[in-house]
Order: sequence, then structure tokens, then C-alpha cells
Amino acid sequence: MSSLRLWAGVGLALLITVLSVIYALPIMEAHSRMAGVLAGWAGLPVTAWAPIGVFPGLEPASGPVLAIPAFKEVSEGARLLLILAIVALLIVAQRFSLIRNVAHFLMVMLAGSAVANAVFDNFRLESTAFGQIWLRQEMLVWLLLPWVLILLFVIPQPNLLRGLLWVVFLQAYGFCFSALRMVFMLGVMHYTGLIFMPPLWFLLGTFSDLLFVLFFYSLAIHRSAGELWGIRDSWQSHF
Amino acid sequence: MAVTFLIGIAYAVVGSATAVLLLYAIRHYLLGYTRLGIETPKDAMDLVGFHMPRVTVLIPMHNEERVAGDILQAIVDSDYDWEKLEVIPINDRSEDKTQEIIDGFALRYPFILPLHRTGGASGKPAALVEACKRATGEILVMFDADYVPGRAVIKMLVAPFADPEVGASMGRVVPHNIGDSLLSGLLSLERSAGYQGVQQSRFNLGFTAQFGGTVGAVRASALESVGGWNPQSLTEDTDLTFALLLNGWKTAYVNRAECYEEVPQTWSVRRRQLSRWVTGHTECLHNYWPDLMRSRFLTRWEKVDALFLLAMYWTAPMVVAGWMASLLLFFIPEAHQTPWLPVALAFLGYQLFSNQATFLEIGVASMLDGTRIRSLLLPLNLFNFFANTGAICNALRKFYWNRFWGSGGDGWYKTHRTRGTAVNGAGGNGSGFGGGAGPAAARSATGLYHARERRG
Repeated sequence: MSSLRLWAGVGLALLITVLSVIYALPIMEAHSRMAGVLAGWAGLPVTAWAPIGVFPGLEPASGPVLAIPAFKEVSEGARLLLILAIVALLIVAQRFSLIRNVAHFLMVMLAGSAVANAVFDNFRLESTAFGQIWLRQEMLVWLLLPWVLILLFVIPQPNLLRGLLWVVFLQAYGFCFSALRMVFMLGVMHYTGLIFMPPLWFLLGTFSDLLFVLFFYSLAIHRSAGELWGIRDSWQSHF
Repeated sequence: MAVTFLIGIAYAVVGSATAVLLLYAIRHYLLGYTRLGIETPKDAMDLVGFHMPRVTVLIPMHNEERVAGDILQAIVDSDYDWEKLEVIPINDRSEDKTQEIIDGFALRYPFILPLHRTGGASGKPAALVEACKRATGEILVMFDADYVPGRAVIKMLVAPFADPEVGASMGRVVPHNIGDSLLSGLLSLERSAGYQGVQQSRFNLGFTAQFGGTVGAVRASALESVGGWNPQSLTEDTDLTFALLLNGWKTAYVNRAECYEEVPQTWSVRRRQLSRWVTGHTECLHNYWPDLMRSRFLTRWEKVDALFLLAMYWTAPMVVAGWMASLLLFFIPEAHQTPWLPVALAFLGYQLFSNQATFLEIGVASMLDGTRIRSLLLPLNLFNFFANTGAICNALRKFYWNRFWGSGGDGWYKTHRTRGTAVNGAGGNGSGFGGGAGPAAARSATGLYHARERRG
């Protein structure tokens, strides 16, 4: 393994991490602004952006203010959607064995969520509290992500420059994708309450972060495998 | 007070799971990078054809009419000297036409000496024990019945035995039914990572390669010195790996000795296969870990590596326990601090046990093998991970339940075959493979890769 490759990767990951820590607040603010724009495009009635404390010792960032109904205020349509979702998951579990366990897990989460909502039908999760939890999680992902990315895209891949560009691109992609997912979840919660929140959190949380990394990793491997086919010895000697 | 205690317990669980997975991640990443850095994989290719001792090929079979003809023909076609070759197809109480096929071959090839079992304990280990009593070879080569060895595979597997310290050798398993289902495509990525990546890397680093009785060879005297096959084990090959290791024998890995297998195409088959591996592997962990730690033949790092290898299936329930504890922390408002551990666990857990290989190792193997199209399946392994985790946890639950109550467990399960069609007569599999009606003892003209030709 060439030391240049290793140090270039570590250097870039360190730079991104340090910048993410120093500019944590502006980054979260930018995330909120992007989410605001997306919410506007989606027609979500976000009434304001209120201050939310994300990490102790850090100035508050902005969280969306949006009405999220309690279970007893949820429309009949949303309850029907819940039943349809469970039926759809049952069909998926029957037909696609690869994702059967995931479908079962989602069904259990949906059923548990429905029961919890029915029992505590006055329970509310404020949209600002949701924004707070979301940003806490995603901020940590953004801090960890560059280190995972250099392990997958810089150190083992044949082209150093392309590997470094992958890291920068995916860090930016992760940031934008996070805003998109957050707005989507806000939209679902605005119209259907908290019923769908646990399974959606599972699917659109760190699972989605991993999924997009793997999607792009497979593209990178696809390209590298094509380039290296037949010349792996000469490539390895320069690795 | 109770809430604080609960939070403490949850953090301890998430913390332990994260720590263990981090250690596994470090090990797997080191193996992956090491494999990439290897310019000349350690092997015994220079000795192929130089060391040609008498060899006995053992092929356990139970209702294998769909595949029996293929493997027997492939062995007949091998370039190993027939004078030094003995083949014992072990027909273990088959109820289909396996016996007819074997006898058809035995009539034409005098070095094929069938063993038809009608009594005794059932299962592959018991069949091997009985066959070994008849074997006259200095080296015993094992193939599963659904495998199709290449023409030079026996020579390649035998070459490392020129080193008198080598007790066993292991070849590379390559699935040939990659395109038949999504699952087989995903499993092919796992196999590539496991053999091209991890096995070669561990062998180069001086750790013991894991012997597999599906395409492997063992020195008869080494086998005898460790007391032979363990007929009680569900994974007799893993059991033998550690028995040999504890007695100072080396196991060599031969990456070039490719043998073509049929991987499971449906999840029910895969689950049962995985369940058997988990049970056998965990049994070996319980049987061998104290002796491993005390072994005078192994270095400290070899012991650590061996322990990691044996305990690998425990990681699945650890991931699940970590997730459940994370979920608990999520719903306790007092615990809403900085969720470092749950996020770290998610990253480590997902990427580690997508299959039994990390995504990095799959990527490394894909680059080395030049597999472009299949590498695009990689993200789907995230779903495969959930399926694997569920199956492993279930198998471990059964294993410990049976161990606790002293019951016997599920016993041997033969992986379902989908290749080929039923035979129409003796000596062939009815699908154009060798055997058939050929009157003379001769190698076939078509050579290798029958399976691929036929699929097309």
C-alpha cells in the first residue's frame, strides 16, 4: 500500500472532519435552509424555523415548525394507508425472499407503532424535536462518513485522484440527501401523524446513508474492475 | 434510578457490540488490504505435476442422480495419472439412480471403486469415516457431488503436499449458477470475497487457511494422527482444520485450484445450509477454543485469528442486541445525548456482515477477478445482511437450546441440487455429460466447463 495513498486519504478525511466540527453550526444551518427550499417546493406548510439545541455547548441551529397531528387527530385516510402498508409488506414478504426479514421487521414496527399510537393517542412529537434528533444523527454520520469513504474509495481503488473526488462528492451528496429525506419524513408526519415514523426512520436513517454509499461503491468497483482486468499484477505492484 | 440503570445497561450492550464489531472490522479490513497488496500470491504452482503421490478421491453422495455423472466424468477427464488414482464414490443409501450411475462408471473405469452404504450412521462425516478405511491413497481428495473440478485440480491440490508439514490443502470454490437467481449472484460475490480475498490473504499472512471438505485434500497420515473425521460434527471440514492445526499440521490454500459448485438458488435452501454451518462452526468453537489458546504450535496472532474465525457467527446476535439497545435508548428521552455508539454500530454492523465478508472484501475480490456486472449487485447485500442475520440468530438459538437440554439438534442436511435432470439410464446423467454409452475407458473430448455449455 503506497504511503501517498494512505496519507492523502487520511489527510482529506481529517480535513473534512475538522471543517465539519469547526463549521458545524453553519453546516446545520445550510442543511435547514436546503430543507426549507425543498419543503417549499413540496408545498409543505412550514410556518417558521425555530432554534433547536443539537449538541451541548453548540449554539442552537434551526428546526422546522410544522403541525404534526396526534393519533386521535389523524384522518381516516391515514389509518387506511396503515392497513394498506401492512398488506403491501405482507405481499412483499411473501414474494421477495431476499427482503422478507426486512419486510417482517417493518411490519412489526408498523404494528407496534399503531398500538403505541392508539394507547397514547395524545402523544405528540414536535417537528422541532424531530429536527433536533435528525440533525444529531446526521451530523455524526457526516463526521464518520469521510473515514468510511477513504477506506472504500481511496485506499483500495487504483486511481488516487478519482478516489479523493469520490469522497468529496459523496460527502456533499450525503448532506443534500439528508435534507431530502428529512423533508420527506416531515411531509409524511404532517399528513399521517407518527404512525409511519418508526419504519421510516429505520429505512431513511443510517440505513439510507449506508445504502447510498454502497450504491456508489458498486459503481466505483464496476469501473475499477473493468480497468484492472488483465493488468492486476502491474496495478498491484504500484498499490 | 431505574431509568438510569436501564440507560447504563443499554449503553453497555451497544458499547460491547460496537467494540467487538470494530475488532472484526479491523481484522477484515487488514485482510482486504493485504490481499490487494500481494503481488505474488503464495501457492505451490511450481510443484504442480512434480509431486504425484497415489491419490484417493472421495465423493460422498446421497440421491445425487442429477449431478453424479458430471463429477465422475470430470474426474475421469482430469489429467492425473490413472495408475495413481483411486476414486471412491460413496453412495450413502440413495433412493434414486445414483447407484446405477456410479456402477456404470465403475464398469468402464477400473480405478472407480464404489462404496454403497446401506447401514451405519448417516451423513457425510460418517460416510467419509467408512470410505477412509478402504482408501489406499497417500493423499485423500474430497469433492462434494455437485462440484465440477477442472482438469488440473487434483494435481494442484496435491502439489502443496511436497512440503511434509502440510496436512491439508484447500482449493477455490467458484459458483457456476451465478445467473440463475438473484441469491446465487449475491452468493457468488460472497464466495469470491471468501476465497480470492480472505483465504489467500490469511494464507499469505501465515494464518491457517480454512480447510473445506468440498474441494480439498488431506494427507492420510495426518488424518490418522488426529483421530480421523469427527462423525459427530456437522462441519467435519472445520473440525478437521482445527484438529490438524492443534497437532502442528499446516493447511495450504490453492487459489488456482478452481472447482465449480452450485450455490443455493432459493432462500429456504440457503437458510438450511447456513444453519448447518452455524451449528457446526459454533460446536467447533466450544470444542477447540481452550486447546487453541494453549497450543504450542501457534503464535499469539494465529491464536487470535483462529478465535475470530471460530466466533464469527456470534457477531449476528451481538448486532441484533446492539440494535435493540439502541432502539431503547432512542425511546428514553433522558438518553437523548449524542448517539455516537448507535451510529457507529450501524456503520460497523451493516458493513461487516452483509454476508460473511465485508463490502471492502467483496470489492477487492471483484477488482481482482474483474467481475464488473456482478459488482453492481453489491448494494443488495444490505438486504441479504438482514436475511443472513435472522438465519444465523435462529440457528444459534436452536444450537444453544439443544445444548442446554442435551437434545440432538437438526442433524445432517444435504443441500438441495437444482442442476441437471433426472437420469434415463446407467452411466450418465441424461444431459449429454460424459458417461453415457461410451464403451471404452477414455477421457471425454469436451473437457471442462460442461455446466456452462449446457446452460447456454
